[in-house]
Amino acid sequence: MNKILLLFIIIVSSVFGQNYSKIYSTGEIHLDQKILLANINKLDIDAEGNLLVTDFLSKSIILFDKKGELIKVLDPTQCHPGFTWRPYLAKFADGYIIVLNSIPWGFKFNTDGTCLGDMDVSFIAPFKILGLSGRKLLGYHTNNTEEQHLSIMDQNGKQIKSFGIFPKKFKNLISRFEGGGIVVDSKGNIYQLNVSSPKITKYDKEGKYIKDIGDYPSYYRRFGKDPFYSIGPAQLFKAIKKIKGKSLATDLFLYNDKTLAILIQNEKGVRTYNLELYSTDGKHLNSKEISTDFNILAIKNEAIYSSFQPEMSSDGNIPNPVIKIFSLK
Amino acid sequence: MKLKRYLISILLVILLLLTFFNINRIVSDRSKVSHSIQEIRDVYNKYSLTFNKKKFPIITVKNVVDTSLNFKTIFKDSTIVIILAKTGCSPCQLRELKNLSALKKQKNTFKIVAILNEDDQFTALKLKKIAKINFPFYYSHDNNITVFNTFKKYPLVCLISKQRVEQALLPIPMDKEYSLKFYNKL
Repeated sequence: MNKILLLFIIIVSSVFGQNYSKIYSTGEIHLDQKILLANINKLDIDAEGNLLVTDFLSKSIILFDKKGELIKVLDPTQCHPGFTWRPYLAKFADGYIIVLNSIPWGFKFNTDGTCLGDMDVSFIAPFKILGLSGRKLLGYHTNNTEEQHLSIMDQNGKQIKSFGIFPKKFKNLISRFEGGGIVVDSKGNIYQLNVSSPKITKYDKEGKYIKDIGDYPSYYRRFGKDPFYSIGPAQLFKAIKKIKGKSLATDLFLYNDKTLAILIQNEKGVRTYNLELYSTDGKHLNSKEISTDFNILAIKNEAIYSSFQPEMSSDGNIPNPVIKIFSLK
Repeated sequence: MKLKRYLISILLVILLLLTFFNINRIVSDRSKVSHSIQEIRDVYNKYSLTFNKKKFPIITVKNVVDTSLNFKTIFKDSTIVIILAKTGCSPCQLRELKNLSALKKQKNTFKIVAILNEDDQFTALKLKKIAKINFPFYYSHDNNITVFNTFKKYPLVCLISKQRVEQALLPIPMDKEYSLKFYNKL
């Protein structure tokens, strides 16, 4: 009798246990029309729900509150005039905002958007960055194919520690193609994803390797070899064509403190995205495919953020993109 | 004693020679840098000159706001046409659109038209929005435009009269002065 009861509990818990399968809309944020915004290329959200938007076309970083009201357009000219401003990523760090610039350097701002200062002269902007506790920073450096690494830096970008495992076989793909990601949980464990594969590498807060998490889903179309291996500029466009039809691990998020979310981009004629969810211990949490036709910009506290462009108004203007929020069940 | 003096003199001479050598190296490096900016401009001037007298293709382009205002690219009177593309130098495109908006404000007699060589209304609308342009904006992907733009560099700015290019500008990334010189000559 006890055995039957135990079996019953196991079956019921596996059915009703945490097993995500569907994405559904929960709300929208309409951004202040006072500011002209072309695209939301990158998005970050802080603990209060404030939004940090990066727009490549207008070359601006804009801080909005959780309702979409404008707080400030970040402007480094007061703290570092004369620098070519071409930002590509802004992130909330521990008590400040870090902005990465295309001319590979960085700037710091207060959380109200006022200028705080520039980075250390030794700082080279990584491809991805995020804030760690103690006002530190974690960088994902992939530009130099021979020295791809993760680094823990102080708040000015001075390197404290370098570590990280990167697959040599796909170093050129990782260097050239936007993808992969880094997240940190509340215990300080670091998770790294590379664009070449949907597997996550887990490290402790000191950078010591713990284990690999994840596996290739059945729909995932892998690269056999690095498409950018040993090519010159002339072959670059041919290499880019080889990427079509393959799957790419384009981003990594922390869905909640115990759940990791991998964003996978697929192209089979039409571009689609899949989410693969894993617990921080490595358990796969979605037995069914979670598929969308829109890109995901950010995930914070179980809220998934994406952006949509409303139609043109009758006077020939297009309103600012709208942030749509989703969740999983 | 005499030997010491000779040695000191020789050392001084070597020091002086090294100093002159360094000064010469620094001066010639500076002139090399300024030459290279001029060299780039010379190359772009050469490219731009190849468009002179070229016939601009006649195609139908769609107005980004109102498709009933579709337009056939027949330019009898002097018109400045800026051709853009998604693959173009994005900061250059925005910069030139803003330059042309400023030109239109200064000299309202200029006819200016922007054409995005892509079948993408939203990209055109976003460029129009961010650059705050005050002249008509059209879009259409047409191979005749692609073929016309021999170097496939975007943006391309042409002054057209009687369907032929009179002057052309291929903007240089990060060189605002080069573009401003072109507009000042118009």
